[in-house]
Amino acid sequence: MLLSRRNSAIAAFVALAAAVSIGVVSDPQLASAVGEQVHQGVNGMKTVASMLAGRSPGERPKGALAKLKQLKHKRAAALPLGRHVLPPAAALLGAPPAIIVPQPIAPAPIYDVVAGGPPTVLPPVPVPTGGGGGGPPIVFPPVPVPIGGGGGGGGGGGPPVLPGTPPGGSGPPVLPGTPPPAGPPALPGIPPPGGGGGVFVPPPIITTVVPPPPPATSAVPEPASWAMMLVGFAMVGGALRRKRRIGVHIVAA
Amino acid sequence: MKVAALAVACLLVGESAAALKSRPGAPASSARAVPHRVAQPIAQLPAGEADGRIFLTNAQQRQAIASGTVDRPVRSLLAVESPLRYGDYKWNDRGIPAGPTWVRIDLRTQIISVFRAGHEIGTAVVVYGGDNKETPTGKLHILGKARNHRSSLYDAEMPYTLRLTNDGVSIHGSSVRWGAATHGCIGVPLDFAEHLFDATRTGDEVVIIPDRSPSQRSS
Repeated sequence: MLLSRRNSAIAAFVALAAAVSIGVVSDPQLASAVGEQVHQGVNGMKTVASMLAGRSPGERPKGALAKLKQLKHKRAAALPLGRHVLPPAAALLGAPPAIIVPQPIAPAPIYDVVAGGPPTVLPPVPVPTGGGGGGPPIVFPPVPVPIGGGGGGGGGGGPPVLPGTPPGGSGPPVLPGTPPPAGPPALPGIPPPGGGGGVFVPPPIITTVVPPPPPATSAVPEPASWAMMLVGFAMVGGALRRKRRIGVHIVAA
Repeated sequence: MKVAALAVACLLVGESAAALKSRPGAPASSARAVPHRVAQPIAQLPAGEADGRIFLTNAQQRQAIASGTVDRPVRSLLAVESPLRYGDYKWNDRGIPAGPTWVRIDLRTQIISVFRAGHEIGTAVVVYGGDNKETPTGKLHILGKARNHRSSLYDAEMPYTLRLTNDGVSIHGSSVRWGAATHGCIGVPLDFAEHLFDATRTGDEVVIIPDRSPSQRSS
C-alpha cells in the first residue's frame, strides 16, 4: 500500500515536470529559443543554399507589371504633333540621343464675320459676280467690280448691286463716282479706283476675330463637382496603395 | 522504477532550463563561439581578416555541388547575419588572392554573389526581368563592359554595364527597390555595380539560376 502511494507520487511528479516542460516549449518565444539553440548546434552543417537563401529579402511579388519606362519609339509616338525624334540609328552614330525638331507653325486661319452670319474663311478664288440673295454670307475678294449702270465720267445711276450681298446687307449703298468709304488700305497691286471709271473696288474686308470667350463659370464648385473630385482623389489614393502593395515596376532595362 | 522516473523528470527539467537560457539576445554560447566550421585559412591572408567570412567544410562544399547550388568549389562565403534589404550589398575582397572570377545570380532569392578564387567577395540584392521580359538564365559570359553606358533603346543611363547577351541584356547599376523589375537586365546597387565592374573582366562567367522551373514558366 505504501509502495503504491510512493509510485503514484512519483508518477504525479513526473507528470508535473512533463507538463511544465511542454508548457515552456509551447511558448512561441521559448520555442524559437529552443530552435535557435538547435540551429546553432548544427550551424556548421548548414547548406550553402540555405546560407545564401538566408540573406534574401524574399521572393519578388507576382503582380501585374507597371512599366515606368517605354521604348524610345513609343515615347516618340506619344509626343505632341510637330515634334519629331530622330530614329535610334542616328543616336547610334554619335548624334545626341534625342533631337527635337520643331515644325514651322502654320498661320492661324483668318476669319471674317459678316453681319448675322457665321464666320467664313476667305475663299482662295474670286467670287463670281452676279446678284443673288439668300446664299451664305461670303467675303468679297478685293477685285474690281463693275458697277451696274456706270458710264464714262462716273455717270449712271441706280443703286449699286454688289454680287453676293445678302439681302438687307448692312453696308451703305455706294454711289457711283464717290470715293470708297474709309477702311483698311487696299492691298498692294490692286489698282486704285479710277476717277469716273465706273469701277469700284471694294475695300478688302479682313478682320481677325478672336474666338468668343468661354462662358463664365462659378468660382465656387457645385456640390457634385466636389463629390466627383473627392471620389477621384480616393480612387487615385487607392490605386497608389494597391500598386505599392502588389505592383512590380519597371525601373531599368 | 523510481530511479528511471526520476531520471526522466530531471531530463525534462534540464531541457526546460536550457531552453530558458538560450533566449534570443543572450550571450553567444560556447557552441556558437566555436562553430563546427572548418577553419580553412585563405592563402596569404592574415588571420585577423578572416572575420566576416564563413569557411565551408569539405562536406558542405560537396553537398553544394551535388545539390546544384554551385557548379564549382566554393571555399568561403561572406557572413551575412540578417537578410539584406533592397539596395543593400556587401563587398569584402580583402586578402582574397587573384583567381578566376565568376558571378552567381539566383533570381528566386534575388541575390547575386561574386566569387574570386573560390571565395565570395560580394553579394547584393538584385532586380530582374518582369514576367513579359524575362531574364535569360543559364551559363552566360561577360561579352563587353561599359562604364558609362546609356541605352539608346530605353533612353536611360546604365552605369557599369556588363553586357551578357547580344541583344543587350546586361548587369548594370540600377535602382534596387521593393517590387521593382527590369526589361530583362540584372539591376544591382550602384556602388556594388562599380565594385563588380572593377572586379570582373570580359569573358568571366555569369550563372543565372531561374526563379521558377521551366514547367512553371510555361504555365
